[in-house]
Amino acid sequence: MNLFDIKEGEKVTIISMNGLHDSVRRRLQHLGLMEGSEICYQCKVPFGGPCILATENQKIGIRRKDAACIQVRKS
Amino acid sequence: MITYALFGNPNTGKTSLFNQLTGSYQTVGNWAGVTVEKKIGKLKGNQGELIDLPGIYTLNPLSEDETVAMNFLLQESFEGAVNIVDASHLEKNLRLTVQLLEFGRPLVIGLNMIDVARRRGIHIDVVKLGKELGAPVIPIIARSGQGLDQLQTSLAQLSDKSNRALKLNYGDAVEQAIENIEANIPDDTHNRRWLALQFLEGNPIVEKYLSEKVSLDDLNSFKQQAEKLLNGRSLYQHIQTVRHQYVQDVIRNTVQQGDTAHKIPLSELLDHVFTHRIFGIPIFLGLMFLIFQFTFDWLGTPLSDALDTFFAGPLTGWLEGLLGAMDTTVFIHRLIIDGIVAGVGGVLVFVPQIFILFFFISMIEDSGYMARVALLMDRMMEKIGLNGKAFIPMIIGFGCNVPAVMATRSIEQPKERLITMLLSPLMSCSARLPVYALFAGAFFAENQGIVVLSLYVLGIVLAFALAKLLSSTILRNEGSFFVVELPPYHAPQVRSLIRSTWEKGKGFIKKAGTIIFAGTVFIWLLSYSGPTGMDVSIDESFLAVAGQWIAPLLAPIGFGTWEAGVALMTGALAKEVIISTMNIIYFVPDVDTLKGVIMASFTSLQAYSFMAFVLLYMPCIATVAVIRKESHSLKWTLFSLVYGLVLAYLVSLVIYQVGQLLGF
Ligand SMILES: Nc1nc2c(ncn2[C@@H]2O[C@H](COP(=O)(O)OP(=O)(O)OP(=O)(O)O)[C@@H](O)[C@H]2O)c(=O)[nH]1
Ligand SMILES: [Mg+2]
Repeated sequence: MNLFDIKEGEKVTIISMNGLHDSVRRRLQHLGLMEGSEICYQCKVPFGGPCILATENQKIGIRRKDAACIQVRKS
Repeated sequence: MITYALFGNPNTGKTSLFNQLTGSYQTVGNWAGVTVEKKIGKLKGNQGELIDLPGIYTLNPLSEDETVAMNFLLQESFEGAVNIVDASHLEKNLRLTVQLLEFGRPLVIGLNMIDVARRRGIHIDVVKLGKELGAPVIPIIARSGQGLDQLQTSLAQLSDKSNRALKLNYGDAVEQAIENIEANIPDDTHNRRWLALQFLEGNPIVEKYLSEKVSLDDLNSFKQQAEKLLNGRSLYQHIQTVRHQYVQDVIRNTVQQGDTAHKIPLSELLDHVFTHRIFGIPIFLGLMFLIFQFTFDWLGTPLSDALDTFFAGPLTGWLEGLLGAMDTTVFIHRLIIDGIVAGVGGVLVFVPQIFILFFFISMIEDSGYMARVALLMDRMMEKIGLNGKAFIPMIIGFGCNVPAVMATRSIEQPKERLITMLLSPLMSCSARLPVYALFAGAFFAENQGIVVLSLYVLGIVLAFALAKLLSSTILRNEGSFFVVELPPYHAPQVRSLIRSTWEKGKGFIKKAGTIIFAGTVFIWLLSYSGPTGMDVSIDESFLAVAGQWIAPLLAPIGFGTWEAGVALMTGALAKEVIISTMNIIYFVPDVDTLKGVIMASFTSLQAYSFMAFVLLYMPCIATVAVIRKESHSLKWTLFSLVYGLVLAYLVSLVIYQVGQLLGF
């Protein structure tokens, strides 16, 4: 299941980020997102715009097509 | 001279600390990537130098500004480092700390934003944290200055023996590789274990550094050996995991997460409004409109009118009295009153508008809204081959194009960065503002705000169109990407807002005293003299001669007078000089009279076309210089000069010709 399949506001755990573009994955790692991180997915901007990943204490905006490359499971 | 350097993640308060400790001022803002170059300051009390650097997440850089910090670490010498750590994001921040501890130079950890951490119920055992990490940890609040004395004391006590390099155990395979690589590197000023680790991680800057000393072939074979033993995991991942584990252990031993119920509800609420799925972009446009209303209509115009009255009345009267008493020659008298007071004063009356605009820009910068705008704009920016973060330099460009070009350093993709750099001059900076204030004030007094907003929008729309053109032709981009941190909102503090406004605005006043002053004197001399001698009538002056030469070229776009031509020519120096020139050639005592005169020689349509031309026709000298420096390319610098002129001419032509057809 990828982030795309998740309902807005649901809490999930990342199981794989391998499908991501290398730079995106590295940037997300810099921000503390990795396999095992718990995130909450909020889609915000209309017309296919970016979405927000919220962790415990920070928020990160990424593109929706990248969100589709993050594999998650419900936690 | 003792030198200390500031390292830390972006947006953790390094520059706030720098400003406090040095008493100087560098821009502070609530988004990641405000500082993009090295800045040097003198510590108060003559204790040495402090160096502010761009923020980094790791020593392995992705963008130009991060490269600056890493190059500094590797190439320049310093006696000690301060690692600023955001106490409310300890885990993320400590990963950089680990690498700095492995680097092994004397280090003090400034645990910043403890006020934020406290509010979120995070309790950190500072003494224990210091023991675990093997370096002094000083809790501070950089914004208010709390704890800075202890930090400075601790810095003064640093010595080469202060801390030993941190040694984590990376497992047999990697340790073996480290050992082999260390044995291959000749003695170095840097810790060899650290060099080996960074090399194994794939840090390109360390790779380059090592390649100047040893052949990389041997090192690469050690690397491959180790990688083979890791069962398919990459070395990079493996090293990250070990560090992550260490950081988690440290946090488990030193941090207590209290009640998480305080989850910054205000920030959440604000995000519901500002990044609303439908209203987000309209709200942004509405805010921009309000800013222009304040700057031009509601607040700015009355203030600059008052200033104008003062310059034209009491100031001129007083100066004339003084000049009379000093019994100066007519030449000097006219130079000062008709030249300098008219020219420089004519620009200075717009100080209120410029400061109001800068005040709002400072507010956007310090509130946290900047990152939200990047998020909102990303979809549109993606369509034109850029990413949302490219909009940040554009907003900065509304203040001044020079820092806008600098700010492109935080854009990771080189081609996106170049495009953004080339197009930043299309952002209408504050130097164009006097021209708008004058023309819009004269011709569109009823709806100044909206007319000026339309010019800003025109600049943005053209920048987008050109970006699309460039990114799908000569600067085609491979894989643009977008990741943005959305920091919690801060209520901007009045004191720092005033400081930031002043620091931005004082450049304008300085310019009035230097380049505008010099330009004004020069222009007045050209208006006073002509081919037939001195003290000629203005229509026979050198200025008129130069203007007449260019006027026919400008006729098709609506302002074929020599006065307009000459004003535009002098505006290449700095766009404010356009106003100085007009004050001199139309020979008027104050802005009000000038408005009357230009209303007699322009129609509204011609005025609008003129404003559009001024917006677009070329970047100022300072912007050209910074584009040259940042693009490292003469070709692109020339491009930025030429495309502006072509674009300005075409756009004004369309405005004027189509406008006429439509009967304006
Ligand atoms: N609450 C709180 N806010 C702080 C503190 N220190 C800095 N800030 C705010 O944090 C934001 C970032 O500050 P900067 O000093 O620009 O951070 P920086 O580390 O230089 O950021 P970059 O240059 O982007 O790497 C600003 O909005 C500051 O006002 C602090 O101790 N407490
Ligand atoms: Mg900074």
